[in-house]
Amino acid sequence: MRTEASRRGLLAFRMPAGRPGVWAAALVLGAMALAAVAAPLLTSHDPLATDTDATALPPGSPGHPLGTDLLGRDLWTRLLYGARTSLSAGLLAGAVTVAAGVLLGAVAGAGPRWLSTLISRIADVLLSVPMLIVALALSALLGPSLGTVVVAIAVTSWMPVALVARAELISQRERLYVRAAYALGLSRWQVLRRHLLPGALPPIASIAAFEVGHAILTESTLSFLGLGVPPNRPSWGNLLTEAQQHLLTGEWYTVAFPAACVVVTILAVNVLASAFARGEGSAW
Amino acid sequence: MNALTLKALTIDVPGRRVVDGLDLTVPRGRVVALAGPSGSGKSLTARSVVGLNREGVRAGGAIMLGETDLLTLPERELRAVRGRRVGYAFQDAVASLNPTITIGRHLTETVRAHRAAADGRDALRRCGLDPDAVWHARPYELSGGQAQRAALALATVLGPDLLIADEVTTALDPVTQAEVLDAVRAQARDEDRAVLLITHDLAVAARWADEIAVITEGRVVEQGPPGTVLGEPRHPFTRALASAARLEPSAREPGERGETAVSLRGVRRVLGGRARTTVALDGVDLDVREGEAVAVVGRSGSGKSTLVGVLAALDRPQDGRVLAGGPDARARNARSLRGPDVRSLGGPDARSLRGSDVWALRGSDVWSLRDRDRRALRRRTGLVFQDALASFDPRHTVRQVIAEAGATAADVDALLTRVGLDPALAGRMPRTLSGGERQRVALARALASRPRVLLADEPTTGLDVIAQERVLALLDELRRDEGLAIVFVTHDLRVARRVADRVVVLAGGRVVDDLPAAALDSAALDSGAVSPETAALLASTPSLRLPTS
Repeated sequence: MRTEASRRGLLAFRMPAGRPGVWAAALVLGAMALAAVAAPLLTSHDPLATDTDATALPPGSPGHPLGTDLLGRDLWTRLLYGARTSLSAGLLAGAVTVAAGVLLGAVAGAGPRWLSTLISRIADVLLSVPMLIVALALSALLGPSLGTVVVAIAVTSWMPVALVARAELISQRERLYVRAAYALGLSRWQVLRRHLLPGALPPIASIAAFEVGHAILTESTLSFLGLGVPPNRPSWGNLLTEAQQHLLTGEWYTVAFPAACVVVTILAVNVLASAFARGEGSAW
Repeated sequence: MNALTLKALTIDVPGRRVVDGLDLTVPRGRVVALAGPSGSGKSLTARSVVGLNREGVRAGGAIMLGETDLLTLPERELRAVRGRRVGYAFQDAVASLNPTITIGRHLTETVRAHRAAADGRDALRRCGLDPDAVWHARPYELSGGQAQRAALALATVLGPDLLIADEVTTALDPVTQAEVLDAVRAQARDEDRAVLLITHDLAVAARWADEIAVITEGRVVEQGPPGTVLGEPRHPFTRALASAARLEPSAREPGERGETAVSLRGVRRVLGGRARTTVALDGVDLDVREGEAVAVVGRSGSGKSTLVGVLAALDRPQDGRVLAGGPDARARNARSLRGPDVRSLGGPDARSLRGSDVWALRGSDVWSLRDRDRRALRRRTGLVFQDALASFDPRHTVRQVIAEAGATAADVDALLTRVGLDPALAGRMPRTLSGGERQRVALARALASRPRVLLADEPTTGLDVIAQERVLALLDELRRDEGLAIVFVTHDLRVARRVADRVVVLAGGRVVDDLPAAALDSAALDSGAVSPETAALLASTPSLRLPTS
């Protein structure tokens, strides 16, 4: 039974074959990223340029496949450039979150007991405060910018990563192979680097994937509230803010397309993250 | 009347046939032992009876329980058979019980699931437990022996016709093992129950079974009363198994004893936290010389494993001293340092000093050294655990495991050859190896830093007799050829006699006996020259040399 489980554990990072949902999610994300990178090649319009001759065109209009907004800006172009902002903000914030979480978790898991208690108590407190309020306060304090969004997201979502990393390290520490490593004369640092951290990685990786999706969503939320990236820079959240006013005047598509982008991306990231989480095990 | 009849049983796991045409009958009121090495299909056979095999395992032939063929029963009716007509007890009793509910609830739940009327307290009493003491206990609060008895009570609470005991005493010390198996046999007689005892230990089979069926490669090659099967084995495999199980001490001269490799003085170690503490070691003095094999025996909880941790300089005793080399080594060391070049005399010692001059540390108290020096000393001590697989990082290959101890690529090959393994195994993951191979990889790793002391904590407990014999022979060789000091922890006196020159008996954290291995026999028991603890161990240890007729 043991060997069976361990075989599964080692496949933590292999894409499960024969699961079309996972492949579709990966394809969607790949296409999104590609479109964001290649934005100037996919459209000839400027995302910021207004065109008073072509305001509020419906989708399918010549030259504007998804239509234009009330200022005559091409929606397709704005979505592509918005993907650049939203995806990079999400990835960056996700990366910072995970890095901070792993660092704090490692300190809590390997450091002295008082530090461990301090970090986990702070995490508990932050987890019990509504995340959006903290993020809002931070954004209001620092002013809207991409950096603010990253900081606000990292500050409000490092806790799950840190708690998982800490718990994993503590459980790894009790394993027999760690004792065997000490018996070979390895130092604490060598044991941490060779055995504890690699052992803790699979669960951290799966939670990290969820954190990236979470960060993309939070970026959109903050931008929608006007506290994220500056309003003149297109992002999916900003597009939604502007579209909010048109919702009842018939330009439904200015809301529908950016919203669909957010939903599809989060969905794809979460499908991938769950695939990681399923394959993940304590490696035996 | 036969309670269980297996007819031409075949079991396939994906890719291969493990059991191939097995015939076996278990009559009522008798204990039939199914004995064989690991991988012979014993446990698969036992699990097939109750349909508990993993997915992908397919059984063919017929499994007749009385008049019913269990293989043709639908799942629903099979469930009614499990527990009610067939009881099953697993090797790892604690793991087979649910840690979140009490023993009493396990029993009442089983009774209720079958809408039967049975008294769980009676079942516990029959298995030698005090119901008032364990009814409200959770599995992890029990000792290994108590947990196994509770599991047996659970398996027999509904008075099944057949009890399958799957290696139930492998993890238990001999005194507890004797108590548990005595209870199993008594119940078989009193309640006319058939018992299928799965074991890899022929001596256990010989002592507690009415009949032994020897299984290898998925077939029963010989079946009969213990006296016949072991006294006049017909099949070559039975002969091999019996000779490996006999654990005859090899004829060897005591060997040249070198200097003291490690010694303990008045070591006391207390385990546990704020709520409950246990004195695991209570004033232990021990000297181990190079080229000497010392067996440390004792019941579970006697402090054996704690002793290993202290000897390995991993666990710090609260009191007493752990000396690298004997207490007199420091003086001698100071003297010899004035001589020519003592390090060239050290031979292999000089090669693996690696920055820290271990030679200069001899005779000093391990826990007064700097951390760096203590680590250097740990490299001079090899450590082997009972669960070899758990002592390897699950992400590492055999090569990485051994290389971690400081071996180069060429060393890894040489070490694997040294322990009798094919160097081609280096690229495999340890979990794909057999139990005996894993333990030899563990030995190769322990030898990689050229230790002077090898500490082995029950290294053969989970192995079958044939794999065990190979590991023991290897240890013999290492002691002889490399002058290693070996400390071998075991709860099995037969193994202790086989491997060691000297046997140290621990009880309650104290050394109660320190005898030459040869003195441990029934003569010692009769003459009263040993402590009561040693006498109890001797009396409960099954022996193949008992008159079996």
